[in-house]
Amino acid sequence: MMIKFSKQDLLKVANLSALKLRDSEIPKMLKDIQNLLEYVEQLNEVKDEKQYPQYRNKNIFREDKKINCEVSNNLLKSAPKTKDNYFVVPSAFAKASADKPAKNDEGEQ
Amino acid sequence: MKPFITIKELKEKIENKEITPKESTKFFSERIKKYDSKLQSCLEVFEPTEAPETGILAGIPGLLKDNICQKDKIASCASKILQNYKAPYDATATKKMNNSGASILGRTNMDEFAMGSSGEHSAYQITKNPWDLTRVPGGSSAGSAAAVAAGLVPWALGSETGGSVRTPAAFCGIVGMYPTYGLSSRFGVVAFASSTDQIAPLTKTVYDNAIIASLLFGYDKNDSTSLDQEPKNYTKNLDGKLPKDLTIGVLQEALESSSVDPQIKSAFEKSIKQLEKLGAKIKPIKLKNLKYGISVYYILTPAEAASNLNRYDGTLYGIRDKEAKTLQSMYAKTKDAGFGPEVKRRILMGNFVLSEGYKDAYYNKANKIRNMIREEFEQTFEDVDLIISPTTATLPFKIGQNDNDPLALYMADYFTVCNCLTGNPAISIPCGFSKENLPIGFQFIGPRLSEELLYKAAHAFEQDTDYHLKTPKGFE
Repeated sequence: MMIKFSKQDLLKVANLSALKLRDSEIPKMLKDIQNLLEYVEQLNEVKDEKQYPQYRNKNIFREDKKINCEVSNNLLKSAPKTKDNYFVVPSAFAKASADKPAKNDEGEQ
Repeated sequence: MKPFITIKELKEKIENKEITPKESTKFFSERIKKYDSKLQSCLEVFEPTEAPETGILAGIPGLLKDNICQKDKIASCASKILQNYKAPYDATATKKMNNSGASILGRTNMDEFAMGSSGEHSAYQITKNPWDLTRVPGGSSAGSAAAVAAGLVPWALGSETGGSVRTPAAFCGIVGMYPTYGLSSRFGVVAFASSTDQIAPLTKTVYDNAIIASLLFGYDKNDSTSLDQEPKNYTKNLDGKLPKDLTIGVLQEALESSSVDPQIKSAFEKSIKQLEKLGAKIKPIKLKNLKYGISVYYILTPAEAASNLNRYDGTLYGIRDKEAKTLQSMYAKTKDAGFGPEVKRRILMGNFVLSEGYKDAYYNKANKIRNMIREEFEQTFEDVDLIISPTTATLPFKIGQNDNDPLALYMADYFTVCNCLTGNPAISIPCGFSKENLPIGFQFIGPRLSEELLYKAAHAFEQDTDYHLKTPKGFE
């Protein structure tokens, strides 16, 4: 399929990726992804791929057994903010307006 | 002690008590201190271990790429987002090297999260090619390759997803390989594309590479994609001779392509004749699906990366945007501040090809074509024992040359991506120098689990040449 990847598409996928793009980044990012999508159009030459399997791998399982893992005690040490055995983060339910307005690219608010 | 000494020679010196392990390690530690400011291969240098060194690699120190966890040391993947992240445990690869008695003298520079073919995408510094400091060493295992090529250490570990060990090996005139997928443990290695990532050694010679591989490969219960294979001694049959009745398939696309540098083509043609002289039967082969490799790779691996890198959002580790008042903005702003442009590009591409309305046309289709490529390899290996091709289409290019053209940079992986997608092993070794004295590498690709054959063939070729004896100026 010939896709015209637009700025709207870029902002939509940035939102899906939980990734904020600066205004100054958008034109080049858009062009680079458009170029890559144009290149991969070549896969449309392949008409008979349906006969091939999606995956040739198999899942490996192990017993769901509790073992002592000394590493677990160290994991919280890497976190930016913790309380007791919890990772602390800003509220998921806070209003978006709680954030200060975004700095523009010159770093001014 | 001469610089650029091989692991094999070093082991003999230590066994003959000409030098102690401690003296040997100190020798390399001083070389790093003396030369790395101009090479920029290390993000951080460590002092040699105080503990007595015993084991196969006692006195034979190395370096690990910055995406391989070393307990209590920073593993930043050359990214700002993990600039303060200290690994809480050792990767299996780290443990194995430590248990062999080796001192790890630092963590090496790389393209951020292993995304790159030149070494220019690190958030911290640009590693130089020791053969020409104005040129790239190749990536993403830039620092590991450059350090070995400059004789700062006799071995280093890199990681490969689409060519990240073999490309810098070719650009730096050393030996690098990609094992059968699953042969080297990914436990404790920061994941980029889980279905192709592998850890592999970079060394000056094939024999040295086989020594490290013998210590590195084998089943690991902590890695669910680990193959049920016992460790092997890959040095056992290295007698400088090709196996009898070896049939080598020469990739015709490489000889016919106008995109391959003429000097690389010429060195490759010379290598074919040399292999024939050594007793190999040469057969022309074509891989008609080779040309789809880059497209398949740049659909599937960004998709996997988008999933793997989603965890770097300020919650569990790494940096966090402390000003953010909502969870969603913490994620978005942390990632904006922490990820470089190439990483962002791949995450966006990855989530796009996985998104509703596009997944079937892109991700699912690419997966099937991946298996089409895999079948073509399997069919080809019914006719030939090994395939050879140039490792890269271009010579090491100038730093900054491809800054504005990511796609041009992706093409650097042209000859390496396919076997990564299929999980076939390969080894890149030097096969000449350009008239500007830049290294040229070519590679053998083999059926799955054919590492012994690869090492034997590569070793026989190498011993019939003197490319591995040449060294870059300025690192005496």
